[in-house]
Parts: sequence; C-alpha cells; structure tokens
Amino acid sequence: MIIAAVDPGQRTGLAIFDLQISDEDIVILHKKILTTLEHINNCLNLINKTICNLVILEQRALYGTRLGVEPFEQIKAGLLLHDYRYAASHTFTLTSSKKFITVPPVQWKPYMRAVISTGKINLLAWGADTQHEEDAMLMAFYVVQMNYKNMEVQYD
Amino acid sequence: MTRVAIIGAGPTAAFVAKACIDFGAYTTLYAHGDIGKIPPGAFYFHWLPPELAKKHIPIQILVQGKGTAENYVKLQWGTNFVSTENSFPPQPRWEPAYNPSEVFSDLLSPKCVVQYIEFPFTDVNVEYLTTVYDLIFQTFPTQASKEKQPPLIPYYMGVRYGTEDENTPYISYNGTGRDIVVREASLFGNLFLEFPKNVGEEFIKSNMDVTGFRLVELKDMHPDTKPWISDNPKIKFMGRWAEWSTHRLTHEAYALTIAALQEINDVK
Repeated sequence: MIIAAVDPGQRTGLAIFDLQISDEDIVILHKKILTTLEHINNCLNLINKTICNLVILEQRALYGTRLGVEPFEQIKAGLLLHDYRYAASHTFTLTSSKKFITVPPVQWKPYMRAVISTGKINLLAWGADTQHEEDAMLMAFYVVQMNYKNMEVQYD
Repeated sequence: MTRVAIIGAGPTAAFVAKACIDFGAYTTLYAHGDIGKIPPGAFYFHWLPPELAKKHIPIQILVQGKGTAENYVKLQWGTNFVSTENSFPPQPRWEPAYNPSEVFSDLLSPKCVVQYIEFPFTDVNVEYLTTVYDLIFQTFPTQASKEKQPPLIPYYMGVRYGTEDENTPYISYNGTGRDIVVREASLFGNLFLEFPKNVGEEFIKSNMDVTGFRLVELKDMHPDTKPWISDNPKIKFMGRWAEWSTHRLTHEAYALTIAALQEINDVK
C-alpha cells in the first residue's frame, strides 16, 4: 500500500512510502520519496504519479496563527480534484481505495515526542534533510501506529 | 495473550490502561483509594488517542508570561535555583487542552479489570506481581526511590472551584518581579494560584487576600532530581512521579506503554 504524508507550508514536506507487513509482524515503512517542495502542484503530481492509496495531510490550525492554511487548502482542493475522497476516520485497510485524511499537529506531535524519547525509532533511516521532511515522516509513523497499535512500526 | 497489571488509578494509569486494552493485552488495574483523582492546578491533557479526540473537543488555553523567565524562576524556587529549567513561555501561545475529569472514564475501558486493594502496594508486593503478570506498570514512586531521591519540596496552591468563565481559560506566568503568585490558571471554570516553594500559609495570608480560596499543600520534585529507572525488566515506571521526571507529560504514558508491550511481544 502506497501512502503519502504531507506537511504543507511555504515549503512542503512530502514523504511517500510503501507500507508492508513482515513475516515477523512488523509494519515496515519503505521510503520511496522524501523531499521538500516549494510548489504545491509538484507535490500533487508526485502523489498522483506514485498512485498513493492514502494521503495523510497535516491539518493547519483554525485558531491562533493561520500560517500554512493556504497551502493546506490548496493541497486539499487538489486532492479532491484528483478523486481522493476525504475520510474523517484515521483508520485504513491495506486494500482501501484513494482517500485522504487530515491530522492536526496537536495529535501527532505530543505522541511522537514520547515515541522519540524511547530511542526506539530510527529517525535517520530515511535521511530527512529538512524539518518539513522529518515532520512528514513522523506524522506517517503516527497514523500507521494508530492503525496497528499492537505491532511494531519501523522505518526502512 | 499478554497479561499486564497497572498499579495506581490516577490519570497516568488511565492512559496506560487505554494503551494496554488497545494493544489487546489482558489488563488488570489495581487501585488503592479514589480512581481518577485529578490533582489541583494547571493540569490538563495535551493529547488523546484519535478515537477519543474525535469525541472530546479541546478548549484553547492562552498561555502567556509576563516579565522574564529569570524573575519567574526566582519567585518560584528562590535564588538558589536560578538556572533551573522552566516552562516560562517566551511568547503567548494557544494550547489545546482536554479536561481530565471529562475524559477519564473514556480512557478506562470496561475491558480493563479493576481490583480494589485495601493497603497501598509495597515494593515487595509489586515484585511479587511479576510472577503472575508478563508486565507491570507502576504509576507511583517506589519506596526505594523515595528514600534515595532528594526530598520533595512543599508549596501551596490557592484553589477556587466553579467561579471562573469557562470560555476564557488562561495560564499566566509571573516574571514581573512583583507579587507572590507564581502562576495563575483559570481552567475548566476553576481558578488556581500557585505560590512559591517553601513558603508557608502564614506568609501567603500576610501578603495577599486569599478570601474565597482553599489553600492546599502540594509537593514538587527538587530541581536536582534524576529520573528513576526500574532494574526489573518486568516493571515499567510510568508518569512523572514514578519516573521522577518533571518533564514527563501524562499522555506520554500511552506511547510508552505501547512501546513496552511491543518489546515484550518481540521477546516472546
């Protein structure tokens, strides 16, 4: 199953990976693309060309600073135009059809702070060059872990 | 099926219980005293598992500091600990917060077996449980740690319940160098005034009109406290008190529990 995680902003972090489950019941996230983009269309094109089943999009704040709201809305609109269906639920199956979900930073950040503190995830595995890329890969981990709570998730 | 025991019945235990049930472990929670007792003060949850986050809408708290971080630390701890790490907000920010009282019962799934015990658990009792369960999550400090760690430092909190506007929650840090209230928090309709460490009731009353407030004595960890790590791989300490970690946030127990359960599954 190909999944994309997008951290929208003036510079957008994009992580595209293949989710596979190993014989030892470990959820492996195989990196395909990890990059930072300045143009939203390039991000949408990459998501389309790699035929992602699921797009995880960071929800931008509706209160306080509205920084990044415009890129978020542009990507959301672009996904809808490319026949991605918005799904309120974060749950997905390996056979699910094209859909996208939104995850607010207040959901994934506090959780991943704790996961990072265990020292058990290899943040260097995907070689993130920017904070946007790291945010995209962490958000991806969060959503996958929430779907496979009783299985270990690893970057590859 | 992995069999786990949770010892303690506070907010951390509730997050541990939720993680254990979500993981699919057979979970027993041992409670001594009240279940879900929420400590007074600026206490709230920063995070909830996605299915609960959908059900509960967080409030947005305005967190702001007045003055300087240095003045704030001086007021809170006295001049001996000016280099102490602190949470003084350099810029005002909005912080989402879930009300622990509203969320607690949802965290504690009916699938979790609750056992009431008459006496508080000793370290020996906990050790014994390791013969019965695959993993123990302890959410309060061990007797051994209490003997070896620096003594806790007392302070007072002024508490007034149900008098505040629930729609304008805030936490205000005092770094002005004036007054004796270290932090003021209006949360979920309640007002909390935190006073400096090692300052007695008499001092507070002689410097401030606290009519209408109930003064509650609380304790905090000494700034030199080091985290306490279990030497038994089957016992995991969870939460700031058991771990002796001032930086530990309550919700983090969920992720740490999932990680611990995955680890034990790998060993199996």
